[in-house]
Amino acid sequence: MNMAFWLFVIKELKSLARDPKMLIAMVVVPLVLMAIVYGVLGQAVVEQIKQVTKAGYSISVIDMDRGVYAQKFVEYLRSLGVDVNLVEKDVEDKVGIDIQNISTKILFIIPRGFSENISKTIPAHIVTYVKIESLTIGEGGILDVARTYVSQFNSALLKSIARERNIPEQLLSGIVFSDIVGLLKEKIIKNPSIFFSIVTMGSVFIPMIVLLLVVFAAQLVATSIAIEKEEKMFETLLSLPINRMSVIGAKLFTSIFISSIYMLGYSLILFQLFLNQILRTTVLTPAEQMVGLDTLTSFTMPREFTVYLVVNVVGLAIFIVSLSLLLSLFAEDVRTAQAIVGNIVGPTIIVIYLPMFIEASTTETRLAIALIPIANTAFLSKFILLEDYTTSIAAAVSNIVYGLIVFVVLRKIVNSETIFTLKLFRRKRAE
Amino acid sequence: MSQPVVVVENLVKVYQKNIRAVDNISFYVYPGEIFGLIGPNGAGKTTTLRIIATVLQPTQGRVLVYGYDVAKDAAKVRRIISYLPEDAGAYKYLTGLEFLELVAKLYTKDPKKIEEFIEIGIKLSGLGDRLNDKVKTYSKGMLRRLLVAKTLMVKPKVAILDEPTSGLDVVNAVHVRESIKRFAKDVGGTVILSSHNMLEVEYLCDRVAIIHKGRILVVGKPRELMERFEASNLEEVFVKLVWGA
Repeated sequence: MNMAFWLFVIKELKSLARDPKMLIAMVVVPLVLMAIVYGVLGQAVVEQIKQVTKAGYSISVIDMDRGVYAQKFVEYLRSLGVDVNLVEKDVEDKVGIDIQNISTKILFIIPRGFSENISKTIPAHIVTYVKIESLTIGEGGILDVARTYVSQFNSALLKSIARERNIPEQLLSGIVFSDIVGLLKEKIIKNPSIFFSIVTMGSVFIPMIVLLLVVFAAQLVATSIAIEKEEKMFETLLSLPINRMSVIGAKLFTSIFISSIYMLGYSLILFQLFLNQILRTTVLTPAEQMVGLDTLTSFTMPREFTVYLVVNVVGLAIFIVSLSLLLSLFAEDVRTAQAIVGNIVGPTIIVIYLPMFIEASTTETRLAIALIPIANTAFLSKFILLEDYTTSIAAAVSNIVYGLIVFVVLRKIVNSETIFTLKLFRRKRAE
Repeated sequence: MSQPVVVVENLVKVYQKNIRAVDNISFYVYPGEIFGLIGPNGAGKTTTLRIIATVLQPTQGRVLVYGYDVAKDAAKVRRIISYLPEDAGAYKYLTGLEFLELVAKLYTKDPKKIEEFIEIGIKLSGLGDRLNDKVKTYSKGMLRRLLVAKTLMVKPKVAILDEPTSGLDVVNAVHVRESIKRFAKDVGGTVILSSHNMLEVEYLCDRVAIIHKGRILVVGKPRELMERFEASNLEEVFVKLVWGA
């Protein structure tokens, strides 16, 4: 890096630190943005959960107990208006259960000894399998549906036992418990609550980070270029004995650097909230063995994905910041630059939050998403959860390619008189 | 006469929509000379200076500064010139001194030279302790003095000043003119400037070119032009030429 680059980096940092308007914008704008985004998305998620809950009205049950209380459970579900599909299973069959043939989202397995345990007032467990397919944030609602059926049955049963034995209901603690297991493609997820916390994190938290990076860096770089014009330094800069790209590079670097620090600050606050939520959940163990499925107990990200993630985000940052800088060259002042960039980059909020609502179950869909800048970063968490290497590589490469194309165009403009005449013709005819 | 350090030959500048801002002009500027471009608004003065300063590129013709073509060797030209645009400003959240330091460091890496440039800048600006204040607190006159100082302090071979005293009160205008005179005398640098102020041009310039509608009408020493057009000052020369044009 040459000296001019660092001189301008220092100058940018000094100006930012001393400009009160900039400090207000750095605190207030993201807070307002977050409030709007969460307000709108919160409502959308509630609607989505309602839709998913409807899927819980049809469930499958494998009764391996064949006892009276298993029967009561099925009857109870039917009394709630639930469409119960009883899957026939030989009690002596040790081979296992072919989960792919189960058509409903929820499968209850009532293990042997269930009724006997309840008769002896010993806790009994129902193993609940929840099929995970769309990886949308609302899909997590199905866990609550499954849990609710079991806990409602538990309450009804406690009342009945208390009545039969003439003891206060309050003296009885829970008797029927639900061990919930998630099923994602060929994998068993031991604690789907944690899994959906990660899905939520990927759908809300990661896009928020990307959003902060994109919007903030874009606004920062546009403001920084417009300030050169507003402070009437632009023409002088073009005649200085320095590489013009040093100035542009310093502005790109400073914008990305400050946005990254800022983004990390916000991320840590959000991450803290999510971590607390995850740690409150407990780890369960499935009681029945499933055939041909691997057990997914933890979510450590493969090293390759870390590389794709970094390349993807770097590519996105170069693309958006270069694009914003390019657009801001048309503006005469800070307000116009922010308006131009805001109107172009603003709608990316919609793209960023697509993962919350769009299913990425087919390879074709995922590859198409991989070619859409910004969306491909927001979808990364899903690509990683699905261990989709091809799409992750395509997403990273496409972002780098978009970033480089815009950067090359920017460089060409900066090193010609167009950088000056873009402004010139918007304002007035030169002398 | 020695070789010209700035050569402008058959220069044409056409903007989009066929606006012909400069129409086939030629002039030469010699070492140590203060050369003035004078003319009404829209005459092509600023465009000409912008081309010499490598901000714009010629459509036709050639412009050489110390033998370097402004279109092909722009980077080399920028190393020997220093340009002050008419509508220039400075970073308002830097202090005057920080601004001078930034500019000095952009012209050289040598710490001694940086120090020397800043010293010259401090003297040329005449702003004293106010250099420790942020630029945003400066009046228009103070800002212009700072900008003239930053342009001349780096001791360019050619200083290009577009309307250096435009909009300044008498005190600040006199200060700027003195700075330019001192630069030419002490450093031996060449200055090309544009101005509306005929008195200023008479006082400052060794030679002038009167430009109108993108064409140069006449080039010469102010005294010679006044004699030739039987005028008592350059303003009369200018009026006679422009009305006659």
